[in-house]
Amino acid sequence: MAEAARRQAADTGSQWVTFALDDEVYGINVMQVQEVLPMTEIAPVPGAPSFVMGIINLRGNVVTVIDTRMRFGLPPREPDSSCRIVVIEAGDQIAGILVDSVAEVVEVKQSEVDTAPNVGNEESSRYIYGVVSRNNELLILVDVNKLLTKEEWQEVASI
Amino acid sequence: MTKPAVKSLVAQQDAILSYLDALLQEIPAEPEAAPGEEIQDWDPAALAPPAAVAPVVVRPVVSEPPAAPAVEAVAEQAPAVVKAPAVEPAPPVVQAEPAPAAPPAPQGPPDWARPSFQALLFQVGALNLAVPLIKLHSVVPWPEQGVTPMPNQPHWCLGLLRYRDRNVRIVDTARLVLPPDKRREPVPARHILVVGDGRWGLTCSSIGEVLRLEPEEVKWRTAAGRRPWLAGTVVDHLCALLDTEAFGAMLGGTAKQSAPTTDI
Repeated sequence: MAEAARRQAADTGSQWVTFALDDEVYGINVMQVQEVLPMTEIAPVPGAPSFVMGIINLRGNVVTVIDTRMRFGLPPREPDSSCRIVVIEAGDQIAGILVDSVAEVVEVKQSEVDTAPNVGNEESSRYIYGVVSRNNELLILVDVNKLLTKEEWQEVASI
Repeated sequence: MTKPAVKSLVAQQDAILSYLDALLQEIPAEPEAAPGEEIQDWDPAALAPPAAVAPVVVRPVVSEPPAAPAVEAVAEQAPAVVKAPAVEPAPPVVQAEPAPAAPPAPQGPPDWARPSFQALLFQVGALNLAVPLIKLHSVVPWPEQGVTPMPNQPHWCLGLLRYRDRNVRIVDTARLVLPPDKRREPVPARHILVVGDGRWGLTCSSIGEVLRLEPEEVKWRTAAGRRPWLAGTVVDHLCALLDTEAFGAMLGGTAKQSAPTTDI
């Protein structure tokens, strides 16, 4: 009984903002989402790394927008009105990620997460935190801290 | 009229035997190459599945302890007789209990193969393969909605399939066992063979019959080599026998080392 109670206590839930990219559903921890913006003009930055789409002006602050499709190895797509820029906090950095659409916030229990779904090398898919089965579909949980490497985050900071 | 047909049949069998022999040749001194590129110089047309092979009727023997769970599962689908053509389209699910780990012996047949064992024939493109039933978890039809692709995975990993509360990693078998020039045309994935502990799923074009094999009927691979997935070849049925555990170990091991978007 004590063991079961301990397990239940340890099985804490967390909330994840779900978004779509290329017909698949991903989630990022709600604690790391600052806000969700409608599609706006993204100004390209000459000489920026390839994973950077450009910058936006967010109430007077410059936010770098990361090309999520490129990072996830997905084919490029012209942004449309359903696209959203999710402003995330990763460590002490703030950045935007462009996604096809944002859906909802879901509650996920730790026990639901399969944290070892990758077969790729750890470097290439390090940002996949795990997967959760929801409504006969898999929700892929993304660790935004690992979306870029430390060096890449530094590059973003220097833009 | 008959002569050319016979000649063609002989040529087919020669080609297949040559291919199966090639599968068993191990050249450890050669530099490492991607498994998908290892099979060379064979004629896929000659491997057109089972036209030249008479269908074998298998009556499952329930008395044999190691194969018993698999036999029960198969018997549920076809109580008396299992015939390859009758399986098309495949039954929704053919399930067998996962077997305890039994890595193949380096010399001769593994323990699970004695005194005899059953194996399910399946096709990947034009290539005949067989998987021991004792190593087979389930056979699942390719889901209508497809599988869930994961970002930045190797090309041979098609994605994840949620199956019986597990996330099964679906492997493009054709990409692993067929050389690139033999799979220019896409090999359709119509079924998924869930193997071992249910962690890996191998795609295949079609499911064949269940064979009962004596260990002597298999030309067992005698040395660890460049095709860890190959347990041996069954010349009578012109097929290669999979070593599912080695396959899984190869995928797991190679995945950690390989570039994300290249074949292994």
